[in-house]
Amino acid sequence: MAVQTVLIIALLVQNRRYSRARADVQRQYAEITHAARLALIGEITASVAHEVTQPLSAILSNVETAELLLSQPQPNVPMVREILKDVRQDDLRADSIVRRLRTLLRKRELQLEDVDVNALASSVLSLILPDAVRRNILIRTALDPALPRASADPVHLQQVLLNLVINAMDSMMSTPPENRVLEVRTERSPGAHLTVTVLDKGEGFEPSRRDTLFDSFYTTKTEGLGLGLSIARSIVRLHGGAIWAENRLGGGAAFAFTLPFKGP
Amino acid sequence: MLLIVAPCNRVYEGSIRCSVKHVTTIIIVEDDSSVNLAVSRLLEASGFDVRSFTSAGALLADARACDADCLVLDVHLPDMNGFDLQRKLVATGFTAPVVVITAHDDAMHRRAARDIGAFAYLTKPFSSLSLVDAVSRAAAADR
Repeated sequence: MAVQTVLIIALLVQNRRYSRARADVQRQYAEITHAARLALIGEITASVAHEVTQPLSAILSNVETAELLLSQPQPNVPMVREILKDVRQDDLRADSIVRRLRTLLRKRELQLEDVDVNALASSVLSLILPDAVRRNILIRTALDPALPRASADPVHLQQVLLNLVINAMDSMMSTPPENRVLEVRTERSPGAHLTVTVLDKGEGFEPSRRDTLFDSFYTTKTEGLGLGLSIARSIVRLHGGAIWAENRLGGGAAFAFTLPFKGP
Repeated sequence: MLLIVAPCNRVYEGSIRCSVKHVTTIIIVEDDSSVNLAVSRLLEASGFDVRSFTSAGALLADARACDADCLVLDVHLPDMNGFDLQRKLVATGFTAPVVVITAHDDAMHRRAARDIGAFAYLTKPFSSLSLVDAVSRAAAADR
């Protein structure tokens, strides 16, 4: 009886140690992922600032126009009402950009939800659009309208997409401006998976490096630690998916990842 | 000399006095529909005749493109940057002064604005007074 008691206590202690170690690993994963996400957001700061400035600029012009109209002997009240409606819309637009950013800044462990991947891809592209325009990069999308919802963590998934999209843009800086095209595709794949592909017309990668692209500290950039793709792979794998890269015929690279979905 | 107007850090607290004495036509090329509409309203309320476009292609396709006293030009357009658009317009005989507006202010854009001989360079969000003033003076200089 005494031996059994000792064994049970030993097992309980071991189990508690294991749980603590697991919690530590999860916490460290969340810390590293969050740090990488902050670095990514740093890269799109100018783009986000541009997006926020547009509605602020429209609000300022609209409010000052309303003041001008109201100072006239017979103010055009219907026009002032229209202006106020637009001011409200622009305010909400700026707020939505800030909210999206705040969501990305949140530190969190993996929390699976039903996610509309097409909407999520569009949201990521809207964040980088001003940067793409500034770099003369044309953005194309081919989003499957019948795409099932994925079981994913929307914040971590945005991080993966943002990483791939920023890499794609960076890879095209030596491409002639007229050929700079970034494309994001979504499609349903066999085996209850959906696939997201980011295609560029950049320099591609050394075929011999294909297997090490997703390793930590692999980078072709002069700035950056080379953790982005490694973390992207960890996130995708935690979702039960896979990530890979291929060079495209005619130049450029395609980075794709799969995610499982629920339902038929 | 290029007139550079810094972003507005306070709301303009007074009414804008319209200094336009003649009907002056202003072309606006701005892809952000909210900014385009707001700037169009402002200039119309200030007494200008306004024609607005949301892309370079739309303006280039308009036969009346050259009939303007001033061009208010955004830098980031979906199909072409504003500076290239101005060069294309000049090649077709367009001579009106240009007021550049941008939400992305940097040394490269300022230099490009100088290079195309822009009359003024305004960083968003700009005060209405600064835009109306720049457009009025640019249009007057064109006469």
